[in-house]
Amino acid sequence: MSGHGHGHGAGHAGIVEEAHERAFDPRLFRHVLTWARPVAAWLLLGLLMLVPLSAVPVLLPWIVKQAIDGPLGGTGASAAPPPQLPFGLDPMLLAWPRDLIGLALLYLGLLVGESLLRYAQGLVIQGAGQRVIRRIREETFGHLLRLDMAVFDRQPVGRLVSRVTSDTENINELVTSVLVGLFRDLFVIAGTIWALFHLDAGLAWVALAAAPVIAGLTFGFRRWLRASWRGLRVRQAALVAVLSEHLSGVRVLQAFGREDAAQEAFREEAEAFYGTAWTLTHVQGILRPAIDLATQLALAAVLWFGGRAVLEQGLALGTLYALTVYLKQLFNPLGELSEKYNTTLAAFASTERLVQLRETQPTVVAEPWAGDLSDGAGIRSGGLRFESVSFAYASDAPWVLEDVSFAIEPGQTVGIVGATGAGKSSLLGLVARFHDPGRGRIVVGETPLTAWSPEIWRQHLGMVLQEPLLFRGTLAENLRMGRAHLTDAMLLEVLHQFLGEDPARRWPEGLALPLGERGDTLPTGERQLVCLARALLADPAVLVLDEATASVDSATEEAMLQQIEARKGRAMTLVVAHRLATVRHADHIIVLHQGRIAESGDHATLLAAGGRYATMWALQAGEAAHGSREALLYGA
Amino acid sequence: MKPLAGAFREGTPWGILGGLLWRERRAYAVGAACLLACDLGQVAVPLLVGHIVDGLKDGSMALGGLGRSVGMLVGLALFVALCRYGWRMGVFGSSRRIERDVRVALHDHVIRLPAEAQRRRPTGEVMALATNDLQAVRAIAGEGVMAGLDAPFYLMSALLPMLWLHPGLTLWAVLPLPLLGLVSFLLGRRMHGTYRAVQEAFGRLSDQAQTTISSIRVVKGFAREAGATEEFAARSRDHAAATMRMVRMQGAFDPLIALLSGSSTVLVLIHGGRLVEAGALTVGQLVSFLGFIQMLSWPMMAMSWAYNMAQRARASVVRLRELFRETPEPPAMHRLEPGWWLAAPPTLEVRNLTFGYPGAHRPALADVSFVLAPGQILGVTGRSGAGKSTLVSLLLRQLDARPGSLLLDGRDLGEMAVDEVRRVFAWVPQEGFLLGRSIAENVAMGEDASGVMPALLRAGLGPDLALWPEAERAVVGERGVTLSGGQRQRVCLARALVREAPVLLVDDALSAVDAATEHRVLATLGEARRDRSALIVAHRLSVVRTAPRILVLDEGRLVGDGSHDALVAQGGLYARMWHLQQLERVLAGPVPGVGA
Repeated sequence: MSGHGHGHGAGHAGIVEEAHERAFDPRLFRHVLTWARPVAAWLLLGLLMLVPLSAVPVLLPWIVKQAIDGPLGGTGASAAPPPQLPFGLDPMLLAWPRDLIGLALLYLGLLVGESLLRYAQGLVIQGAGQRVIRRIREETFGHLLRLDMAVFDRQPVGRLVSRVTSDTENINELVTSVLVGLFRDLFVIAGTIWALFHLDAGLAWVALAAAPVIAGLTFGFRRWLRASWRGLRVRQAALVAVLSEHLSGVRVLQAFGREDAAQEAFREEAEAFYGTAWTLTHVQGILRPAIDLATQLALAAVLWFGGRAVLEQGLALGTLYALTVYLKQLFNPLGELSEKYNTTLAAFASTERLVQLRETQPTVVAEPWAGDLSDGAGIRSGGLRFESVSFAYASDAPWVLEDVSFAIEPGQTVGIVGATGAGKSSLLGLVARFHDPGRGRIVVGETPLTAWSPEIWRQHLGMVLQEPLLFRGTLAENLRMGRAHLTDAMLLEVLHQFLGEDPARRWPEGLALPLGERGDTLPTGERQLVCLARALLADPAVLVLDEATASVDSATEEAMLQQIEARKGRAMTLVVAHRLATVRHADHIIVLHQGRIAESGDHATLLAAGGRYATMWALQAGEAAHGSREALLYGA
Repeated sequence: MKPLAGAFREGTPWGILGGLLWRERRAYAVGAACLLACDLGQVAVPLLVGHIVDGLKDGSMALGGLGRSVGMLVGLALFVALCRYGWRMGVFGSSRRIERDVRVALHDHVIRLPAEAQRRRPTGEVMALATNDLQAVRAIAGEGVMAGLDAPFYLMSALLPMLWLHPGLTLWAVLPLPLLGLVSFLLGRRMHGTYRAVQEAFGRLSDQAQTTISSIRVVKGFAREAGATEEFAARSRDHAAATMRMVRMQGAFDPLIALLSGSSTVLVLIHGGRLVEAGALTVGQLVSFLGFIQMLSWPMMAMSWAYNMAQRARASVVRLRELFRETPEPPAMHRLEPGWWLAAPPTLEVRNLTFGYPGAHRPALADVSFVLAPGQILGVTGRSGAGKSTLVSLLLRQLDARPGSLLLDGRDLGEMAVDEVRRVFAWVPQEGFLLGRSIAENVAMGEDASGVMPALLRAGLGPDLALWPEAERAVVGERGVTLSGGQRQRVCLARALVREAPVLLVDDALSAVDAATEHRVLATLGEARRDRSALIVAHRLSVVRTAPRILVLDEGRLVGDGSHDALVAQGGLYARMWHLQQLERVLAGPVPGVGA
């Protein structure tokens, strides 16, 4: 084709995560191979197809050489030379055509064969690659979802998402493009060198003399080139950071009249980015032409020595021609080696991150000795007990809950009150087994909670979280949450109870009502209502409500409380609420203060004790006298 | 030269792109000259090789002649290498400068857009314009221009010597070319289509992962791990299928091009060979021809490549133009003397202020009136959604109020220059936004640095500063000092205090400050005010209760106006809020049983 390099796109556009590189590591490479094992046969086939494929570029110039030396009379001597074939294939292919048409048809045949084979090889390799990637992706995602909640608390969502998106993509790139390309280049180079030596060993050495020069150039420049690439990525990250800072703080910048200063700061950053981009263009502007120059010089050397050989030793002209063509073929892949090297390093960094994630094991699991508890027998009749439970979010973090003990009898309701940060939500998180206690234990009937696998335990749980989270999809999908045994009629029935009217009157689309991202097409109150309905639908054995009625109007709250009340006795219920009216009918009320139980008992006992709860009640009674049902505390 | 933003507003997409390239016309001219020289130099190589082959074949070339030819080849190689460096710097360098200039213009334009226009465009959208779309513009200015220039140069410099060598044979050689151009044009377009489908599938895959992971509590809470994995797997399957569709299209491209350009060689070999046998062509000329054929396929591909790139750049320019067409802040009707308020602090009057956000079914503020006299301190409170922040935004002209409803010494705020209005208010925003600079720079924001330290102390940061040495010079953020929410708010307060503005505007800016510090800060604020007036918006009543006059907003209406004691005595919304907040104190308080 031509010597023009297609300028390499400048890294990833968009938000740049600081790019990491990882040196070649055989352990990581073994992981990649293990992942690729199921499609090993296909990959092997793809690689095998490379053998005939890389023979074609070696054979084509040979045919032209045969034409020049044979029918076109390019040999110095008048007699046609005995046919020479590369790869020592002489005996088999002695019947090679020697006339022009025959050679041309052979050339065409090889071309067509190569095109078809190349297409097929691409499909084989990419198909295999996609299957590997899909498997890694799906397995990793499934694995990730079953990891401890602590993993999700510690890491930003975006980082976890990139494990199953861009990191896996990088590995695909490594397998299907870099490795396969490398093999093809190696085969072509090996075949070309073989052909060169077969043609003329002396001239082959002359041609190869340029190889160390080009290798030296690429590797000498590698450091410079990599430094420029890295510089560009760092600068791009800085530029994007300044831009997003200015965009998110634009109101402050404007209010303080700092537009000019911001403009200046950004201009500096853009200028610095341009500087590194210029350096990269400069480095590539030297490297690419330098490699071409080395190739051209090798060509000149071959023509000089080859020309002398033609004059002095009667070297065939076709041989000289073939030598010049092979030369270019030999050095083209060398120039791209350093870019491939960079891709490889990025892929290894991705592999390392993926391996790390896949080797992380959940600690919140079923204890192995526990046996099969999948039927959930005994939960409803067993009761639930906290035995001196203490909990912290990390081993070096302070206790969020300390020495908490209480019991819920079957069918009972426990109310939990306390200030923001007192540990209420953490306590509910322990019941849901989002975390396990650091000290003490939670017991269901006579079985410790840790005996259950968290997934099976949670099937018996109905939860309503503080934030009413729904998913994009239909109302039915959101209510059903994959529980296939829930029929449409059951969903409609529950909705009817909650709304106190035919759901079709509120939502003409009925169960097919489409919900937006995080359910945000519904007002908060309705979202919370749907969340409660979703939790109550499967008749859970344990019901966990975290401020479930915080943002609904009084009529809806009344309806929701009635629904909870209607299930009293069926389930053990834990209710966290700011409004004491919500918990006053609970069988047992716990007042949490800074992670400890400050007071506990039923409403009457606590009132009589005259402590914190009693004070709160007095204050809320005053508030209730004003007739407000709204939670005034929930401000921005 | 026209300013970039202006050119972007007015032009047609192609006109805008042309204008961008025109800015770098000198560098492009140098690049184009180098490219042409480079192509001519490259063309000489097959001619020289052919010459050598002929000379050697008929014995006309001796060792000296061979040396001269090889020497020329070396000279040519050096010349071509230099030209290559030249065009790369000329063309790619220009593309980087264009990228830089458009990016700067975009930034400068965006940060001057009124809040209304900002609200319509999420940050992510502008970021995508500044990165992805700009990348498309850079690609056409760099690789696109190169390919567009090089294709005809290269084609000509290969075709002309071929025609000179043998016109008839040239005809045979170019026979497959139109087909090659057509294939790469059509396939290139469809390849782009499949590529976009892959990108979209990838986007859906990411979205699915994002949604699931950010709702992990619900997913786990409902034991939906298996179901969620299955949903993700479906997206993953779609992505793989889209990728395979792209591969099927893209995988055909290279082999087809190779086949078509190779068929040129076959045609030349057959027809040229006959000519050589007939003595109408020398072997060397045939070798030259074979060399030129290798050069023909590139221009065909380059042209279709440049065309597809141009189409993408056009779409990006249209998107960029839309943003540039947003009008920045309107100019002022008349300007005032700087510091006009120094002689006599102005009176702020809010008169029957009503404001509704577009698309909202009830107004955010309805018929609100009050007067803030010089030196007066006014508290504003209400529940979330009451309209407190809207009031602040209207005063700062981040939103536009109905004419005549906001008056400063009788002047309509809407008729003043925006920057003048903003110099009247020293604003402390709710979010505690700071730049990634030093604390000192954040506080000064262009004002005199000598006021920084006193302001930090007045904002109650004295104890904190003692804990971090050199803190006022340390950078805010991950690389320097990490500030808590409360510390951030107080640095923002200091930033407002440094300013010599007649009205202090505090928008719920002490919400993350603990009670003791809040008390201390409020005390020093009281001393500092004197002739400056203050509007203190807060949800927490302890912040406003010391103000002599407090306004209570509810659903956009003024429902209370008076001192703390009077409002508590009235027993309205204010009294209820007061009770509830006292309750919260009891819950969080250290000793059980402390009454209200």
